[in-house]
Amino acid sequence: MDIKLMNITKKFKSVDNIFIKSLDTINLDINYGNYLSFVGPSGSGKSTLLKILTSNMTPNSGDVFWGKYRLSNTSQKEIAYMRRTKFGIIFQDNQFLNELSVEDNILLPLAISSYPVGQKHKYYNTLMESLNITSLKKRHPFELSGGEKKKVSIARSLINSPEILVADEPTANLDEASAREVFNIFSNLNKLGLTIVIATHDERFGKYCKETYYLSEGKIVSFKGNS
Amino acid sequence: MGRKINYFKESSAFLENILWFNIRRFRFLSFWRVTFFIINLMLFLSTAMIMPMNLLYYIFIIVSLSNMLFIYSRINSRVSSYVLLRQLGASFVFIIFDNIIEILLIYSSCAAFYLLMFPLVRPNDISFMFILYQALVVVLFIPAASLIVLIRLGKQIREE
Repeated sequence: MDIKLMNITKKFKSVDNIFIKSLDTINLDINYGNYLSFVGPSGSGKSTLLKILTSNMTPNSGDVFWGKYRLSNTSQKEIAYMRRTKFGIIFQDNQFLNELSVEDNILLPLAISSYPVGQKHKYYNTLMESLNITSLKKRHPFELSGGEKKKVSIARSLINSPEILVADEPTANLDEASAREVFNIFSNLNKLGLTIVIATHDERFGKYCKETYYLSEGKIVSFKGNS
Repeated sequence: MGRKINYFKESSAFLENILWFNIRRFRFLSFWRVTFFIINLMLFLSTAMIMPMNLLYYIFIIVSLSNMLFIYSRINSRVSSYVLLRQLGASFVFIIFDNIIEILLIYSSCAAFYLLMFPLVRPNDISFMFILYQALVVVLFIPAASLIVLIRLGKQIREE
């Protein structure tokens, strides 16, 4: 599924009742199989852009297309369906349900998609082994380290075999080695055909991506292709 | 994609998954579960003791209001879970049914416990009617409360 952003603008109201532009006339095409990153400092609009891209936020103006579907003309029911079947999302702060074990958190997107979660999903064991988190499955999220949480978050985002993986600051709070490991995982997934979109403040990891967009004050200020 | 939604395929394991979800998190949130159980059991028992009809109507209203208050605060307390579920693509129907099943499981176990205690608490037809009446209140109120919270939350998330 290709994604198209047309003239996206997003404003937020500040405490002084002044509107601040978080995104300013963003135009972008994300083609199937691409691996791109948005790089910029805090407050440059990266996370807002990812939220709009996944329809977790509505832009003030402009249009988002998922394939041929214009989201402003698509029902919430259909958007929710597409989100749970087409997207894998890695949140900046991971976001787990602490009352569920690691294994159950990973299986959660399947439960939501009404895949018979009682049957082990065919990818489940492969995922756990390839991410080296099999030993964590009975633990709870609050018992994990930052790196382990990120791996669990990656596993959860991949369990429903998405077409697009969206990751917000996937290396936040990770040491250098863990961050490299995460980007190696992403590179391997992209080689398998997964579209990957990342927001990061860390320029060093831009080299792993095929395309890097630099954001500043809500605008794309430069672009670099690595392929 | 989009218009080709296979809702039939999606619905085949719907209830099974909601039950799975509830069983998996059963050990947690025990404070809520135990409180709801005790409130209902105590109110059931007290109604069975107080038989005069003129008092019973007041008891019905008090029990209904306390259950509704409990359910509403319970649903509100789980807002962060709903945000995550919605972001992962959960439908309103999934979240509402999850709430219904969760409360109904506790309510049913309470009603079953109460029925087992019948020999001790002077049972009569009104007691059965009372259980059914309260079950109806619980089942009807949960979707309403969930929808209010979810719609408010949806607007809040999308307009933040």
